[in-house]
Amino acid sequence: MINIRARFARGEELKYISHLDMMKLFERALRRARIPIYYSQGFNPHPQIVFGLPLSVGVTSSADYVDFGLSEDMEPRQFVETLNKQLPEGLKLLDAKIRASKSNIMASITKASYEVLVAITQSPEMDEVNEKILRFFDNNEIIIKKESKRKVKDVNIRPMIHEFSASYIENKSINIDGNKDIQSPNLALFEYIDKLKNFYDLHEVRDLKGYYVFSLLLSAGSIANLKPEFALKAFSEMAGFDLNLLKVHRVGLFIDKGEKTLNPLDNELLAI
Amino acid sequence: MSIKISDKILQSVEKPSRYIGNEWNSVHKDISSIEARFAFCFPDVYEVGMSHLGMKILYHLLNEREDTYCERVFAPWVDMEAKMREYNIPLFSLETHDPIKNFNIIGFTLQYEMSYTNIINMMDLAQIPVFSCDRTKEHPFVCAGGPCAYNPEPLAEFIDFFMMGEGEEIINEVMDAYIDWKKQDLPREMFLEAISQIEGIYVPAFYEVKYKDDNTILSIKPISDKYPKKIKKRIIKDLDKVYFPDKVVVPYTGIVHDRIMLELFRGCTRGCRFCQAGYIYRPVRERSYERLLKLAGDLENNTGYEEISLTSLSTSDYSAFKELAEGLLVDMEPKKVNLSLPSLRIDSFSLDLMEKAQKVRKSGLTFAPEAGSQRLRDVINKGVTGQDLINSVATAFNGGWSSVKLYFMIGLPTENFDDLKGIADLGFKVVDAYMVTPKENRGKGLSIALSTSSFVPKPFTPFQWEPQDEIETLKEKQKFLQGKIKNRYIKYNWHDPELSLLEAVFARGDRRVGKVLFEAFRKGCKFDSWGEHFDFGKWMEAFNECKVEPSFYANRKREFDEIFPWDHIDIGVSKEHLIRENKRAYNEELTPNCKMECTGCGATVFGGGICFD
Repeated sequence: MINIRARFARGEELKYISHLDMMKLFERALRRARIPIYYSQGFNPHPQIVFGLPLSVGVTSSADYVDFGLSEDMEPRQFVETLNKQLPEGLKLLDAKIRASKSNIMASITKASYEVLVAITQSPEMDEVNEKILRFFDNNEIIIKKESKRKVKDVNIRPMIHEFSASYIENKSINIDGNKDIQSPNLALFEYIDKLKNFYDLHEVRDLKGYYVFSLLLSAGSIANLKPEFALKAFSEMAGFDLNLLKVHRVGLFIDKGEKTLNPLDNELLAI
Repeated sequence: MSIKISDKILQSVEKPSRYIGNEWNSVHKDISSIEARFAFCFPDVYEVGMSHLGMKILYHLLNEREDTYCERVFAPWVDMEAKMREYNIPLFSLETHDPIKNFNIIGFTLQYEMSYTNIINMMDLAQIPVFSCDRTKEHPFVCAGGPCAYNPEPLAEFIDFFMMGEGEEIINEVMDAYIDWKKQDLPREMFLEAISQIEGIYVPAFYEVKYKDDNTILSIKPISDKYPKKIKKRIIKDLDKVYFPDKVVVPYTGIVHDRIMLELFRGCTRGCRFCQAGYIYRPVRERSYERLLKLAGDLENNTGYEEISLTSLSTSDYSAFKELAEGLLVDMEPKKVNLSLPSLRIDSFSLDLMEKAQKVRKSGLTFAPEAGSQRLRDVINKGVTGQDLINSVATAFNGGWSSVKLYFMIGLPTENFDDLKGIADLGFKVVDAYMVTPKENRGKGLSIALSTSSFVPKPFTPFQWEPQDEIETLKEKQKFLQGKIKNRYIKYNWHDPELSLLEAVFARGDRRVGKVLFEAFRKGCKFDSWGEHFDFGKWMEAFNECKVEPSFYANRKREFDEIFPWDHIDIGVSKEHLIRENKRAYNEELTPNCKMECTGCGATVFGGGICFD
């Protein structure tokens, strides 16, 4: 079996697809592409596709990762080109490499980064926000209530928050072309803000002044996982802000190796 | 395409992927180069509507035309509808998210009577006048087709025109006529005038119904000699030559039938006397297995689906079933594509094939003996015996199966309590058949699901004159059966008799029940086939307020000379044949199937199919 690890982006068009449906979507696209996907042996053969971390419904991403097992050799570049032709709008492979190492992606992911777009109706107070963020970080414990299986549990999320910062986008005409030099995740947010304008007159955001963008690096994966909504909720409650969360965009997934935090396509992780 | 529904709304409803569109193989066109926009509406939610083969065929067929753009429309679920009404969002199509009130033709498919309130509700949500007479030149034309259109009368006041029979040819003729009409900029009525001359088109406004004092029909006549006295259904003579899509839309979210559907043939040779499909789709016409294998290959390539199912009325009656099934297994096995077999008839059950197709997943087997006693099975011309069933299940149990579903009907003509007891007895015999199967052969955990639906007399069947049992009688029969079936392996399910009553009213209703539909819609009735939304109380209020007596339609025995609301529709099968079959039913006489012997039903008039093979 040949293993290929790929990075993909999910856009607005497909953000309402559940994780299970995403798996099916990939399986059908692979079949259309005639890519020799490896099927598990046994009574009920399953294609060898493992996602790094499920994307929640409504969340877009510019860097998600998936491991494919192939039964025949294929150049990663050819793999990307062939599969992309069969992927719908809103889903695109951006990069792929051969993975020689054994460790599968799902078990390895430890962190995820997000950009969260928030609408504000009062004048922006960046100094105040930054000061509140510092105070938020100063806490040894940040307790939230987490519901699971009819039980409510207190969880300390402070160790799961690694980075937390904010910036401000003014609500005036945003020229996407003029912002090409901005990092791609921000571009997704700008495009989204542009799209939001279609709904102003309806009901979306009244008396809009502007937006905050919160950039977060949080624990993710099988050992500790914190959703950005929870981190933001804890912050807004502590800071006394009323934050109208518009959109969550995932910017990256990471794997910790020793002291280093690496992106899943780092050669160091793919080698044997 | 741009999504024109805001995230605030989509995030607040169940399954937002129902509303986003843009699925693989969905069709996108440049609107500016289009002459006619057609909204194909299925009056139920996305998952149900997307499973309908007829829509898949006509959607791609219409979109083959460069001058036409066909888009899909489904009934929004109640949560979405509430949001749409709150924010004044008119019903939109999936492809462009454009309001369908701006389309040229809106077509509803009529698959079951209990979707009728959804049709009215969808027109209302689309901001289109729901009554045909209130629509003007600025509004789209509203048409309908599908099995329930064979009795179009309950919807006569809502629908501008009906298409009778199979749609592949007639819909193109309608589009040609529409584009002609549009180019000439004629008054609205002129389009209906033009298409009324197309065989298979029924424009209800051009027909007048008169009633007798006893409320039965005196006459149904065209208001002018230029309209046909009888509207003859359309069929496709050669299924190998007719269009069938080589690609279908692959949904993003699970739908009811989430697989490739291969249509082997149309019609059914069997002639079960309760079954409308067995009559309205006559004569039987088959696709060649070579064509089917080619289609299966193309569909698989273009969709990437992991499963193919064979769909037809009685699939194992297909002449080349063995060649087809084996060909599919050979082609699809290496691609890891499953072959899903339909419920095979119990007298032609092939365990070997099921072993091959389903490898190890021994999902439940389904049998439909329909009646519990041989006497009653003869009455309905089911043509299978209890022993056939036991032989089949015994073979299946020996092959490792352990889960069986049995479907029956209660309230059939001439039914007595011995017949009912026969249903329970058949269940027990299936248990016995399992118990005598050697332990090492049979699967673990026997489970038998025994379901009864209530007989609904349908137009164009030998039972179209028959009364439906009263609700109380049906409940009594269900209770009786429940008392008889005391067995830890058998689970008994039954249908809501109140729903069956409404089906019976609208299946055989005339124009006067249309106002009940409208009243029920005004009271909020919709998604009536979804248990959680069915409100019988509101329906009864609607009947009362409209002074329409449901029992007149559902529970009344008709004379053979009564004029039916659908008598101006011609399905090819003659009334004389149906009367003969009705009499044979009471004599408990079987009628051989079309393959064995022609009994002169009248379907030969179409000059095609099995009648001439």
